[in-house]
Amino acid sequence: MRRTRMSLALASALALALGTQAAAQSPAGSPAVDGDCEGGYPTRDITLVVPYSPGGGFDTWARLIAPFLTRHLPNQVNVLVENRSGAGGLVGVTEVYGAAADGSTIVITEPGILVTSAIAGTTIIDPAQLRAIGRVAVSPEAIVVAAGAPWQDIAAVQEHAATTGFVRMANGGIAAVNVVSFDALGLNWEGVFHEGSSESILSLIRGDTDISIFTYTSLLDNIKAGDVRMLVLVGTQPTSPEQPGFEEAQGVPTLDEVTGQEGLGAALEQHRIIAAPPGTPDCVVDILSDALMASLTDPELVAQARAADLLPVPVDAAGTQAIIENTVTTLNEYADLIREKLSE
Amino acid sequence: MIDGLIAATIELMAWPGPAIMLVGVLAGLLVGVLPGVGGAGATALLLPVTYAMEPVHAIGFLMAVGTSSGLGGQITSILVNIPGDPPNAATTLDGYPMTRQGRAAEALGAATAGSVVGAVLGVVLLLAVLPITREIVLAFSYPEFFMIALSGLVMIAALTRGNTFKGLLSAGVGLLIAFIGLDPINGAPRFTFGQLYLWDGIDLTPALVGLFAGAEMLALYQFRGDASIVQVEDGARRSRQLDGVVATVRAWRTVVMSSLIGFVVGVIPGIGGTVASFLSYGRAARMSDHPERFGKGAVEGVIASETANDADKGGALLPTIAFGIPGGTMMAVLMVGLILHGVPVGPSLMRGDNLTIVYALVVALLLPRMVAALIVLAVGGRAVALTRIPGSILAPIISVVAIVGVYAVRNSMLDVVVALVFSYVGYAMQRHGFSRVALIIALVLGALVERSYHQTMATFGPAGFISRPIAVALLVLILLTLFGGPLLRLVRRIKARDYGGTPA
Repeated sequence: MRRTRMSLALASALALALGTQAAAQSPAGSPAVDGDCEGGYPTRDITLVVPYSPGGGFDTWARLIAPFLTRHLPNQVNVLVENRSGAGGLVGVTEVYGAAADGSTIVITEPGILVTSAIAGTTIIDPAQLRAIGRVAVSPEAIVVAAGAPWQDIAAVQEHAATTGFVRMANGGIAAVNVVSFDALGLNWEGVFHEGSSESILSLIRGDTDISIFTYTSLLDNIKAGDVRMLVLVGTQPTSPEQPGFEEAQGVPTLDEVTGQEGLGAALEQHRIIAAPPGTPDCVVDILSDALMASLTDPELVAQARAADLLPVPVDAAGTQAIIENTVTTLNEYADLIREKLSE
Repeated sequence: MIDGLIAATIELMAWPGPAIMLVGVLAGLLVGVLPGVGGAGATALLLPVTYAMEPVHAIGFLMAVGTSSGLGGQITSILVNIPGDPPNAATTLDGYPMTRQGRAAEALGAATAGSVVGAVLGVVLLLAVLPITREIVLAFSYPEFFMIALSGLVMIAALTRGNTFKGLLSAGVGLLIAFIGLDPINGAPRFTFGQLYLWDGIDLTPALVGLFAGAEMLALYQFRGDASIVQVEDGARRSRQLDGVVATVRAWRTVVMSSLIGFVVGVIPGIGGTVASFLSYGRAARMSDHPERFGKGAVEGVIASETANDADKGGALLPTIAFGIPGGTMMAVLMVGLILHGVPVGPSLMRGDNLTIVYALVVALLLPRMVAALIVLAVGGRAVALTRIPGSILAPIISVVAIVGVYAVRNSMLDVVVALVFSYVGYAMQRHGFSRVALIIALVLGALVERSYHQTMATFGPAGFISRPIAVALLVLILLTLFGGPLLRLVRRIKARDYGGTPA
């Protein structure tokens, strides 16, 4: 324990030096950073921070990937998973955001939450400054109603909302995904706050609320069980039969199709990405990214993931940086709306 | 059903089933004894261990860890005032005073017997309602949540009798602390002072460890460095665990009531053993012929708390079986485990082949706790010796263990700071006669009261509180609790006058 803390202190000193260097070299906000890896990165253990408690989706992915990263990294250094939960994931990401930019600490997170928090002004993180290492997986969001509800498609819900003035949405708080997608659908809604998706789904089934939106993978079991009906997929349709929920998603329209706004869903769906602190040198990012891509295509990992009903959908560092930037641009167009909903 | 249960038992007990469950029980007892990481956290940490196991053994193992931690937690609650797990917190209220009176063994026996009966009744209730799981789960909505939480708050009045003003003040502070975190309308941060740490509110574990264990260790160390926890040594005859078991049998009304409360609270997703044990404790104090003894070493208090937090686990299985929705953290982890093993959760569990899994869950819910109870009975008598160690030696050791335990839950140094602050707060409250129980009950229930109130208003409107049968029944119970006594006296007086008799 003491050794870790001492090396952390050492690392932060290094980060400070690197950070100032970074600031001097790239003042325009572009995260690219020159640096040298002559020391032969990586030479010591890497911490992969999970900003949620053990047992969840991000945690499962992190624990799945960690041993494979070790296998594919130079020097086979250990990759240690550490849970730093709190504030809906912000605690862990904030810690990594301020950690040494030397590739010793990385985080698994999602851009959507970070951008929403940045717009709401509840975080000091500038998501565009994170150095993307790669995307691990993606899940669309699903707009669902109870199986017993009278609405067979989203048009019926829109009709209903037109007569009653609004729909009741069971949600886990104001997030970009519910504000933006419902605005795009022209649905006026009133939120009923719940602790999580489980309580929200129960509320739908009881008929206390009308509609809800959560990630497709988290709702899949309830959809399969026939308790809730999916009306719209926010994001991209699963394209291969190997993807979880491929069958159930057939014939369900996407948000882009319903609203005719191309690319909106891609900015709202949940991308699980791995990122390093701002100012991490390019050569470090490259090494980590190569190892991550090799891990995610490792047949052994793919087999283990499939056993857990997961499918890696890798995107490299540059592509992931573009995903983050697309999320920032798209959601910022709705910044006023998000702030307005939050202050209601 | 019986055939199914027997078949499930045989499958669970197929080698290496018993060994796996025994390891699970020992691990559960250990994390239960250590403050901080509780049963739910331990199942999450040990989940990867089960990847290589057969699904049915994975169920046995995870259930063993998750359910037996409560039996470990009661030991430290009673002996040294440390709730090993938040659901054990209500056990400290009378368990620790009993220890100070030299009745530790009796308290341990009562707690163990209560746990066993609670576990059995919880499972019996579960089996009884198995065919109508969905209806039961759907019967409880926001107004019912609100009334259940409110009935808990009302208990504060019963538990602080004789010192109502200080009791209400303590409860008010508890509510203030409970409101820190995300607001119940939009889920936006509130009273967080720009601190990310406060977004999730003040976590119960460090607050409990501070208020009870920390405060006690401060008192023990400061005042009576060479004295031990036990104040009164009964020279004539040391208390035995058997006394506690007998007391549990005598208090059968409390046991049945507590099991019912625990089961119902367990059904509701999002609240669990901690709420159940405090509700049940309050109800026992309320129904007792000697409410003034509660908090001063009433064995019924220990029984009520431990029975409820074990019966709760039977109820918590309902939403998991019916909808694939976990009734608590432990069930959430268990579900992840089942999914990773390719076992479908949710309604399909109740059909066809998967019924075996349901019965395996039920058997695994019960079996490990029986083993855990035997272990606790075996070592409990020896553990009592702990309370005769001088405070100057015991206090530093316990303090270190408690602080490490608090840190380990979320690897958070700020949790340790919270525990330390609450230690001094608890110490000051105790010295000046403020009720720590009132503060804790308000802290446990505050967020639920507020959230379910807003949820009711947003969906049913004010009518929701008085138009739903279960909610109304609960409301009537609350009103009876508050005004029943005075009303009864009034009625008696009027009757006496009508018949021309003299007022009693």
